[in-house]
Amino acid sequence: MSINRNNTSEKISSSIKDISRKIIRGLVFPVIILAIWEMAARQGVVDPYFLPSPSSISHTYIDMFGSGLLQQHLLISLQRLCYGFLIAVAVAIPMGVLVGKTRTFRHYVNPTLSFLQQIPPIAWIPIFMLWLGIDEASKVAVIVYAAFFPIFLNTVQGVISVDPKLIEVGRSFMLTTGEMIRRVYIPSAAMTIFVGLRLGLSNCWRALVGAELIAASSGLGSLIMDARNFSQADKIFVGIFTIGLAGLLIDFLLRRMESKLMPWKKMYKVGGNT
Amino acid sequence: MKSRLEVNNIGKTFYSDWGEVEALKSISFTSSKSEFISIVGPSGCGKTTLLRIIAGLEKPSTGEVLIEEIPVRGPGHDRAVVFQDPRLFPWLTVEQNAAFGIEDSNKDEAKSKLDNILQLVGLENFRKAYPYELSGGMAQRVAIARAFAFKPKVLLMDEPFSALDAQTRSRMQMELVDLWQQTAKSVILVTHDISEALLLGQRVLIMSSSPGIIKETIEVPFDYPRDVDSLEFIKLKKYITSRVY
Repeated sequence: MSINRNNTSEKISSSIKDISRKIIRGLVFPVIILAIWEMAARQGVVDPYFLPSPSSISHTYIDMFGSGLLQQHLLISLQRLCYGFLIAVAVAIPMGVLVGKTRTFRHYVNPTLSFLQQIPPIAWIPIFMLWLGIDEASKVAVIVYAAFFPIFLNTVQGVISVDPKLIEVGRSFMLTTGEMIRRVYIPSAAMTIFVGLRLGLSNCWRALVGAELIAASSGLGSLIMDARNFSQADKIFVGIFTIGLAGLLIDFLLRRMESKLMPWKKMYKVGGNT
Repeated sequence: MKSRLEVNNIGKTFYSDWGEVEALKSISFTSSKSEFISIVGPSGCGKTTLLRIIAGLEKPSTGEVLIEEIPVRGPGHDRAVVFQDPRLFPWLTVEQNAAFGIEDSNKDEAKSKLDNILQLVGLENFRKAYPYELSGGMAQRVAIARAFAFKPKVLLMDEPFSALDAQTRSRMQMELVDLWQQTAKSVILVTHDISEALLLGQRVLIMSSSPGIIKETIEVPFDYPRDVDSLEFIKLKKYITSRVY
């Protein structure tokens, strides 16, 4: 008797078919919008000063890409994102485990955190600038703030909902507190934590662009602001699309990482995929 | 002779909003060798609580448990529990789950022991499988392997086969007797299934409820493997049934 893995290749090819079908369906809507937009622009229905055609935007895109300007701004934004996100992860996950594991601690910090959670990251930018200057630090601080709550709250939730029966198994095998956290709590909460990571990442991507729009001399947000100052609508759109595409790519990479790190996750997908 | 397991005057009272419940009262028994003890009783007689107290997962209100003359203060290396449900870690493979209690599973020695145990429970072809790929019976066998790999002196089992279908159950009961005979452990098996208790145990403790006490101890006079269809077996089973209910 052995687990039947013979039909695996069959499954993979059918899942590739599934995925490509999904991608095609997902592209239908954007393609229709772009086509209508392009036609409207060519017929002169809209003023290119306000709404340039997709083809002229793509020309600008290629120009900016060719000159390296776009990559330069994108890279700066991504760098800030990395720093801020990693700091947030390093703070939020340990704190989340601690708060999730200790009920009294939860009672102490919950109200404060609920209050802070209501404040959008952007509202902190002026004070962060006052404290940390207009350099990188204030932007990174905004990102940390934006990523912190989703990661923290999901970690707490994940740790609270660890199956007490598994904790008891850990106890019966005499795990120390450290082993218990490492071998039972963290892997148990991993899926929920990952949801937090994804939310946190998209949160801080948005907060970052917000921060760059308000106060920065580099990065995608500032690229958009510069373009606005010169009334270059095509460049504004290039910036906007790049933000969206980069965000999609980051989320995609994180999801890939998730399924690589957690092969057992498949069991939760038994009901079918979405 | 040094006793392996000594249960001295164990009592347990639960306190709740609607009053006190005396779950266990003056439970005492000893076991001196690698004995297989079954505990039967109606549901709610406190047999699981007794097992959890011996495991060190719960504290008794009175009395104490000694393992080789050392009092139990909590879970320990000398005992392992097989719960009613497998309780495997979904993120670990079969072999990782089985090795959960082993301190350093990378050592060659530990590895060969693990191989041995996986073979004993018939899972050597499934070492890389995850729990979601296993049937209920296979998962419970992993849980048993995990407990055996821990090398306890006393194996505590709480209705380990109750969630299995009849066929798997009887196969695993035979496997358990084999494992026990090969490894010289003491086994305490809690069950509500009287033929299971009689099929496996050298001694059967009959409990009754409110408060949970040991009503009678029966020395089982049969050799292994036991014949469930023999007249003596059926007679003894009838007797125990009449004592339980």
